Amino acid sequence: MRRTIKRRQHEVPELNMAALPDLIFTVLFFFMIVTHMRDVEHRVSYEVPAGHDVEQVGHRKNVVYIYIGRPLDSKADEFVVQLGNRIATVDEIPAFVKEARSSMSEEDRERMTVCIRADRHTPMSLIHAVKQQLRDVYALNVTYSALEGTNAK
Amino acid sequence: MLLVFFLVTSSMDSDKGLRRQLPPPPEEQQQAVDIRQDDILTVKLDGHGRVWIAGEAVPLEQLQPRIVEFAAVAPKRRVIDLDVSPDATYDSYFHLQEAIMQSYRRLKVAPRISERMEDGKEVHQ
Repeated sequence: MRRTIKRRQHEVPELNMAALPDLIFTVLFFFMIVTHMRDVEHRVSYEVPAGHDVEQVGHRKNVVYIYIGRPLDSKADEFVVQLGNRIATVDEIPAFVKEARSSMSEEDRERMTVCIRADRHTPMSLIHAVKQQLRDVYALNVTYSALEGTNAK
Repeated sequence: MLLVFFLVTSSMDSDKGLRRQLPPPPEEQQQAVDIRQDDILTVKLDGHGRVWIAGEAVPLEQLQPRIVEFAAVAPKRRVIDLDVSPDATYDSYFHLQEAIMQSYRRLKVAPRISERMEDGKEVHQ
């Protein structure tokens, strides 16, 4: 049996680009809503621990961040504290917290949380010192920042 | 253009963590509270990240049942006494805290933890 194959000349239809701007705007608005600006420059490198039972930190407005990790610009194996945009000592924490607190509104002040973003390998002596400083200025709500899941050991 | 700008400048880091409440700073005259010896569970965290309860090493997975077993008797009265070594890593401390929080969440009460490191003592209510 012989079949004759009919070959037609296919022509690629031209793509309709009219929907493209809509698409781009949708993606743009999505990013504008979900993301926030990076407001600090990291001077320390850190890798937070991973937990299974982590919850959302409070609203950004009332969260104060303290970063603890290895300094980026030195090879030394030491851990430092970063407050705002610069590396600081533990003794500067009370002043930093007070300043952050004074720039908040009344209701945010009560709900203020200090988010400690510390490297997994930080010795507890440093964390303990930070906590003592926070207690002194009555910044008693703390959050130990963590990722969800498990870290590779 | 705007899209690329947002992609570059924004960070998608999610803010998640373990929430804890620190005790207020110690006052001048602090009242000593009498706690019966058998209402205290001393949990020791050493410099190598190992957890010790009553002189025996407890792996992290067994920690939660141990704490639940201890606290379930009288969760409001019983206290966990944390003894943290200054050399312990933050990671091991975090996992210990998490295990305690999970245990107490199962019991639906707030944990009572006292934490110390060398001399400084802090008491969580």
